Amino acid sequence: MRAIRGTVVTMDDAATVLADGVVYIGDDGRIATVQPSTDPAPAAFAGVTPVRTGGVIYPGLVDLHNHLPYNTIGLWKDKVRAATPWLDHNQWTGAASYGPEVAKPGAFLGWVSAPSLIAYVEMKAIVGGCTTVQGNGKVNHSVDGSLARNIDTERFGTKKDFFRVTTIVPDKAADLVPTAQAMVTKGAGFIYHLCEGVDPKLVKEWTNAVEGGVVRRGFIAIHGTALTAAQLAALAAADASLVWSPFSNLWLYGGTVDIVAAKAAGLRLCLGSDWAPSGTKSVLGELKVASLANVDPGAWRQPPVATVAGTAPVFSDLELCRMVTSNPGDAVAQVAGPQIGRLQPGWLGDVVVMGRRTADPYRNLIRSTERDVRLVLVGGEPRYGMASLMKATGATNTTPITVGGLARQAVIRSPQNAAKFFSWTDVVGRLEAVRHDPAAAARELALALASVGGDVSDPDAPLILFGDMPRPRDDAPGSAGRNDPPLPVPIPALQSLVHDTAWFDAVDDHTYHRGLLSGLRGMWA
Amino acid sequence: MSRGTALPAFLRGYPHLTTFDRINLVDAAVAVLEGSYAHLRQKRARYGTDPVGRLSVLRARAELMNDRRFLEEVHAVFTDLRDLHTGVRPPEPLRSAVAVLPILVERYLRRGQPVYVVSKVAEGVDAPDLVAGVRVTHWNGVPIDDAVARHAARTRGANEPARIARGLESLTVRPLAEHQPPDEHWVDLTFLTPDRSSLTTRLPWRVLRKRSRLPGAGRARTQTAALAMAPVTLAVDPGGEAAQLAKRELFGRRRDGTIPSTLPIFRADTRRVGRTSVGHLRVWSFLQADHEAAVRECERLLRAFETKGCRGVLVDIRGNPGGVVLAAERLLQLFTPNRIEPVRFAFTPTPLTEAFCTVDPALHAWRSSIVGAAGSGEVYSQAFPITDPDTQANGHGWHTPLPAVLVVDPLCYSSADLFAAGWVDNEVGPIVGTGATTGAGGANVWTDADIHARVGSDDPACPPQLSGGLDLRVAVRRAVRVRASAGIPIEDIGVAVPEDNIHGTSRRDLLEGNDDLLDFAASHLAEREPG
Repeated sequence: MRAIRGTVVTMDDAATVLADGVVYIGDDGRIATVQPSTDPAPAAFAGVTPVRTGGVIYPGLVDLHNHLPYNTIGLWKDKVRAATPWLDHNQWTGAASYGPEVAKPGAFLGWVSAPSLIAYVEMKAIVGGCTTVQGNGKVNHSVDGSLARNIDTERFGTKKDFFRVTTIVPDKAADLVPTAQAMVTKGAGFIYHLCEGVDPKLVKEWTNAVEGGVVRRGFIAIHGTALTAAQLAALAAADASLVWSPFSNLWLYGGTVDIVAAKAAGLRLCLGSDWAPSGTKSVLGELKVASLANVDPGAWRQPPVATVAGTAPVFSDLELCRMVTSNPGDAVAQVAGPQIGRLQPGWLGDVVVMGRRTADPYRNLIRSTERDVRLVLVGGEPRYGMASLMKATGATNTTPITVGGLARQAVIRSPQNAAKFFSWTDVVGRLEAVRHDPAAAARELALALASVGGDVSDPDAPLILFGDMPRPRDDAPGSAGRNDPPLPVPIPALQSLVHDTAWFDAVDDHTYHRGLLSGLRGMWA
Repeated sequence: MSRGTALPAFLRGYPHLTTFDRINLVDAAVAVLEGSYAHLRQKRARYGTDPVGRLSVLRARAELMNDRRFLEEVHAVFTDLRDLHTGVRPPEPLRSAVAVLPILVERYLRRGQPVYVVSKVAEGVDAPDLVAGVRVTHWNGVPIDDAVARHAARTRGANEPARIARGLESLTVRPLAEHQPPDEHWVDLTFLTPDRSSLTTRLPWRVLRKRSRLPGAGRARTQTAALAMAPVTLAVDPGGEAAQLAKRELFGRRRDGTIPSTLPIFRADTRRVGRTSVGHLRVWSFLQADHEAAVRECERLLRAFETKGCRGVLVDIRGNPGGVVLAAERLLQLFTPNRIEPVRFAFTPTPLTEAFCTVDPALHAWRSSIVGAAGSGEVYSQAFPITDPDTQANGHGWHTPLPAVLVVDPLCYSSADLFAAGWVDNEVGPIVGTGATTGAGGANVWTDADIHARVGSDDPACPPQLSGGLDLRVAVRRAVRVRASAGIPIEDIGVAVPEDNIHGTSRRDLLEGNDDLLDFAASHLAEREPG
């Protein structure tokens, strides 16, 4: 049982904010009650002293679009492409640099050092206040995460498989039908990349989705950059959701979703940071990108159009904050019931505590950076934060970590064994060792696989995280398949956990985004 | 005739089915046919058709077809089963639509050869020479005999007489829930006038809306869960019911009988036969959910026949599409002192039917033999009646002393087949007919909603939920006869009419109220005197 005290931003339907409130979390990991600090504690919490956080308490942030296995890699710039945006998601898999700089390093790390890779990329999310992420790729054994929840495999304490996920867009509507049948008969959700790009020909993907029957309640579309106003309205009418990834859209395609039309349609929008090669480091960063796009949405279209007077800013700060809390929480709730994204009784005790930058709680979240993250609880359990708050909330098995120059502590569970804990030094050390000598890592893996007859599904086989992005088009058939370890490749330097000067420099070094993303540096001031 | 909508305008609103709707339908149809269709084995043997294989092929092509072509293909798969109980019902507006021409064409035999005449003409037809009685020679330029044969081949009649009867009806009345819309927008009808001159007149197809009275026919799919455990005792041809309703709109409301009935399923008349009178009890359908009311009303009408001095009763179920099994079987006891043994029903043993019988208390009797079939290799479960032999089939406590004759034709179907089988097997009285058999539909029919009310979606045998406004009907329990005919199925075979009891329809029958037929039927009353 835990109780934390501070300004509580519930993100409930009434947008209730308690200036000085307490969030009580039971032993089941769910919120028992949220109330002003002056109210007597619930009987079950007699003797529990609320921990004073000195900050603003939000629901843990939710990132519904990512590809975690690739998140050690830096922003990707294809030299041949120069300043020309791609038209759709099928183009860049044919770029010469995609294999060596993106796909192969990510796949290789997933094969040779999955536990450390999972810990590293989830740490990136959690230092941004993100308690639920999407896009962990496939694994050969069941895993329970290290730090954050992963919506692709999260069971919320049940045995139910809530979501179907694919990053591969089929050519035919018929290929989507089994998924739609699961949505209808089993109440499953479906997370799906839809109309990613700006080519009008992508309308075929929309038609296939409609024809295939997946555009319905429980459908979570990612990107949707090529969707027309009518199609966005149809998504809204179906009670589906759209995950908006403006940074990645600008980076790859030079334009993003028609958010004016999405707002007019009443579409449930969520934010996703997308993978590191073309995205922000967490939804805390993506929230700032969204706030930039919000004031001049016409400039963020491809081709750019003049923003119609009176239509911007499109969203209020509250609405922007809902895109990383209650909106994705509600999208998940359509298939899994009340779980994440709100601080309300019965919902999970996933919490992030931010410092105070401004009086307005929503603007405060938008302006918060990784340095402002004071405490992160997942299911009421402390996972990351300031040493004082970790101690006060009873954290054990902590490991020290420096984030943005600040000392923090984290609890990193082994993905395969909740009773085993990693140190951050071990996590980084393992990944650096692979970087230093990929061939040795490959030999080590080959030996481990030989001991189980090459069968990756053998319980004694090492944990393997399979990349979920398309293989490079020039890749030899059979390489990097499920039973075919990839060859050793050079691994780029590990990207830092936070949006730092090197990252802002990399952003400014690119011209795809017409300078629109250069405003980000100032938002971390 | 300006009733309804012109066919081209109606077709502009042809429903769209997404790929999901189509594949879902195919998957559900395969699951339902393999998991619960009582006649699958029999149909494969009798017609050499493989609906599951054909649906699997269709699944692969479903995405590439236009809406009309897809539904045509689905319809063709089910047509070849020759089973009016089992099939896919399309979404609105097709479901409640009936394509009609403003005439009825019927046939009679003259020196053993069929003669086709226009027997009814709707009001407002702008063709002064087209009157009831004219002889039809060509249909869109095709000799009428060939045209009828081609239409018969496209119907789901279970045997030759039933197919010809249904083919003839479908010339001018086509319920679009059961048939595809006509290809042609109009029909050129060539006929001989009374002075033997040949005329051709063009008749445009029009579409009427006729909402079925079947239980659940108008419900939204989202309400299906609320159905939970409604008793499923239907045995009916829904297309036959729609055709009846359309004909009534076109050719005038049925006249009331001389003895008014409080239920629309009956009409009671007395008619003179020689120097005596007989009662003529028309039973239009057995669609009477309150079967107790049907029994009470029938008793009242039979007592009225007695009061009016009738020497017997002609029970006329021609064209009856069936309805509620209990309504049909419970009426039998009113015509005989014999104990009625009701028809029995059997499931095909599968995981899905086992699930039905496990979940639904009303079906528990069938469960043990379904489970046992896994070890014995039996292809059907043990057969039990739907109508309780003691309290329902025989419990009423009154029967008419008047002798009765049953009049049938190849269009009477399903519960009407069961009624005819019960009539013969329990020796209620003679049977006469205009064809060699009844329509030959012997099963209890369920909808996909009835199935989903009894099987959870987590059950691997559970078919997918349908979408796009489609629904599916399937014969889940096959009916077998009793007593001397014990174990003989009704499906595809029907109830035979003894050769001497077959009456070839005459011109007078068609144009003057079936006088010859009813006189012929009355002549069989002499075989039994009032007791």
